[in-house]
Formats: sequence, structure tokens, C-alpha cells
Amino acid sequence: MTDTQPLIRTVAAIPSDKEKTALIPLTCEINSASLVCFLGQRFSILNIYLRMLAGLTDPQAGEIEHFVSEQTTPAHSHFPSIAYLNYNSTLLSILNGFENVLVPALYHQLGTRQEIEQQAQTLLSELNYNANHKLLPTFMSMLQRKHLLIVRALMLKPQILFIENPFAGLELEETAILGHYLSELVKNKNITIVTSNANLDFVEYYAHHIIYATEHEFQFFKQWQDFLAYKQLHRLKF
Amino acid sequence: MINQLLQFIDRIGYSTRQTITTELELILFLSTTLRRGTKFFFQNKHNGVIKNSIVTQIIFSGIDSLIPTMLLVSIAVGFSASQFILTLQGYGSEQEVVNLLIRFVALVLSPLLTGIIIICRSGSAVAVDIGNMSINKEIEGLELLGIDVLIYIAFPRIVGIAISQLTLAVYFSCLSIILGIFFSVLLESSSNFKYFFILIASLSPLELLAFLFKNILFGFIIGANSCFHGFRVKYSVTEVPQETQQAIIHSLVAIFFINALFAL
Repeated sequence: MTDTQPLIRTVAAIPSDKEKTALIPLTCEINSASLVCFLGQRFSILNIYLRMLAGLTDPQAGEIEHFVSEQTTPAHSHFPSIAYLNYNSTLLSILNGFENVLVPALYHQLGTRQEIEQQAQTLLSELNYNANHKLLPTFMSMLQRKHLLIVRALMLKPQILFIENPFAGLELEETAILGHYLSELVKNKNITIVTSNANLDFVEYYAHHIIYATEHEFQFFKQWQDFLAYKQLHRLKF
Repeated sequence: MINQLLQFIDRIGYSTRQTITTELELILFLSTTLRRGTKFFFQNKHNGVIKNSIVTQIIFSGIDSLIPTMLLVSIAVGFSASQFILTLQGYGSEQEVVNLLIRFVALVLSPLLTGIIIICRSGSAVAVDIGNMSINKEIEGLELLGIDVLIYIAFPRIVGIAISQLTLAVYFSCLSIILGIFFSVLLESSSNFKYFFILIASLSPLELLAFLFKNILFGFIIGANSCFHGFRVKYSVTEVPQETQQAIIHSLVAIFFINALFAL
């Protein structure tokens, strides 16, 4: 775990939830350039916490503080440096893969079209993306679509990237490729990534912080071994 | 008996309230979209992403429907207009024939038929398109990236449809009248070419302005209805045909109503 300044701090924060699920308070800090994995038996609940941390929903109790900068674009729009990818986020079906990547930056006018295209090409080359990105999303594999979704979000230069269950629907090999890519983003671009997922291989190799939701509280682990010991002690199954 | 009567009144009251609420929401949707869209469009120099979407919509609604649909309907209306000329010239002066031709074919029938074609062809497609985007969470994905979907999705479609409605109605009016006179020449006598010269002198600027305004209004209403109902799709694919149907019916009712208002 890198000891740097926190980007998000919560104190006994309980997210508001339409379903009125019984939720437990969360007190934590999300630091910069770290990879944080939320684990638990119920995914839907983890995603509710992720949405609260990203500022998409307000807490019904407790406090949440964001220390990320807000970007003001030439398009006169303001957005925090937080990107959020839904569990079922998809690319726009009417545009090809590359145009999809360009859309947010073009909309927020983060440069001329040429500059934005150049930036997109750079991000795709860092990804070693060799597939044809001029195809419509429907003709792409799940991994290609996930890659492009992440690159599309990165076009806005976020400080934190929230991804709900990033490995859903991927084969084992694809999971490994995407997991490696996410860890490279944290290392090379100093981006903080917060995910909710059940892929323990990914958590074991790359996570800096593991936050495990039990029935009554959150458990925090800085090392895989600590989580493993806890898992064995409580006979947790994933 | 009294209970049934009360239930009947209750049902009428409920559906009236629902209709009024929906129409008010639609007006709010249209005004919000146009306000935000125009502000975004004119405040920003590099608004290529919106321009491209508008052009794409004009190509889809205007240019793609020009040859197959509009041409065929223009020929059919032109043929009817020729019968109109041949019948009326026995009862009135040349000026009266031309006046009737302009009022009926150019100013009333053309906007209405163009509107109906655009509703069936583009309005329904837009509602399905946005409905499917909502179901597939594409809209939510854009919102999470800080993109205002009213500006990026709805505004170009509404403006594109309005421009298409106006240009197609002009094209349709001109072609129908020209073909009407041409067919009347073929069917009767070449002296009917005289109507071309009377035609140009018979158009008043006020009528042209009303024509312009009516078509733009039609376009805005068709576009807004399509987008509004598309965005109302939330959970299930079965909502897509339901909302598309609603978009078509509401657009048709609205343009018939406005057409009647302009005719008064």
C-alpha cells in the first residue's frame, strides 16, 4: 500500500438505497495510486457502496469527503476527476469502437479532434490493443468492449476509476489480461482503481487494499495473507 | 348505477390528468433540450460532435427519404393536383385556381403529409433507437462520463428532424404543384403552363412565414415526442414498442391539432 494522501474519506457512511436494504456503516480512506478491491457475498450491496464513494449517491448517514479536483472544461461543464463504470456499462451501439472512445473528450472539448484522436491512439497502444477498433461494438469480444470502455473513461483523465465487477463475462485468460492492464494503470498512470469483484486471483496479485463486507461490518486487509487467514478462519466461500 | 357513473367520471378524470401531465412534461422536455442545446452549441467553438450528429440526423431523416418516399408521394399528390386544376378551372378564374392550389396543396397538405412521413419513418426510428440505448444502459454510461444526454442525444435529433421537415415540405410543395401543372398540361392543353407564372406572383410573404413556422414547429414536436418517449423506456424491452407507439400517436395528434389551428 502506498502511503499517500487520501482521495476519499468516509466516516460511518451508510449509502442511501431505494431497496431499503439493511446496510452497514463504512469508515475508510481511499488513497491515490492504489488498487482497492471490495469483496463480499452480495455484489449488489458492494456496488451501492461504490456508487456512494464515487459521489453518485448521497449517504443517508455518516460523512464522505472527496479530495479530488474538479475539472472545468471549455464546454463549460464541470465534472470531478472520478470515472465510474457500471456493471452493465456498454459502448454506444451506433458508433464504432474508436468513435466511442473519442465521444467524452470531444463533448467536453478537451482539445481539437486531432489531439483527441492522438490521445486515444496513445491509450490504445499502451493497452497493446491490436483488434480492429473501427468495428461496431456488437462485433467485438467482451474483452475488447471492456478495454474500450476503460479507455473511454481514461480519456477524461480521471484520478479515480470505479469499476463494478470488471471481470464479469470474461474467460480466465481474458480476466488475466484485463487484471494486468488495470494494475499497469495504477503503476504507470498513478490512477486509483476501486473495484467490486470476486476474482480472487486478481485480488491476490494486484490489490493494495481489500475491503471485505461481512453481515455486520467491514473488514480491512492490507495484505493477501491476512485476508486468506481470515477467510480460512471463518470458512468463507467464493 | 351511481357507482358506475362515478367510476366512469373517475376514469375520464384520470386519463385527462395523465394526458395533461404528459403534454406538460413534453413541453418542459422540449424547452429544456432546446435551451441547453443552443447554449452549448453557440457558446462553444469546437462543437463538431453536435454538428456531426445533426448532419447525420438530416441525412437519415431528410436525404435518405427524399428519393424513395417523398418522390412517390409527390407524384401521387401532383396527379391529384392536376385533377384539382382541371376540375376547378371550369368554375373559377385562373387566379382563384392558383390560390386554392397554393392554400390547399402547398400550405396545408404538404406540411401535413411530410410530417406523417417523418413520423412514420424517422420519429419511430428515433424512439426505438433511444429506447434501446436506455435498455442497454448506453445512456447511463454517457451520463456517468458527465455528458448531458439532452444535449448529446436529444438536441441533434430534434434539430435534425426540424430542418428535415422544413426542407422536405418545401421540396414536396414545389414538386407537387409543378407536377400538378405538368400533368394538367399532359392531360388537357399546353396553355395550362400559364399557371406557373401566376403561381409565383400569388405567394404572400406572410403565408411563407407561416409555412416556415408551421414546419419548424412540426419538426420540433415530432423530434421531441420521439426522444421523450424513447427516454421513458427504463426497464424492459417490451416498453420499446409501447413507447414508440405512444410517440407516433402523440406526434400525429399534435400535428393534426396544430394544422387545424393554422387553418383557422
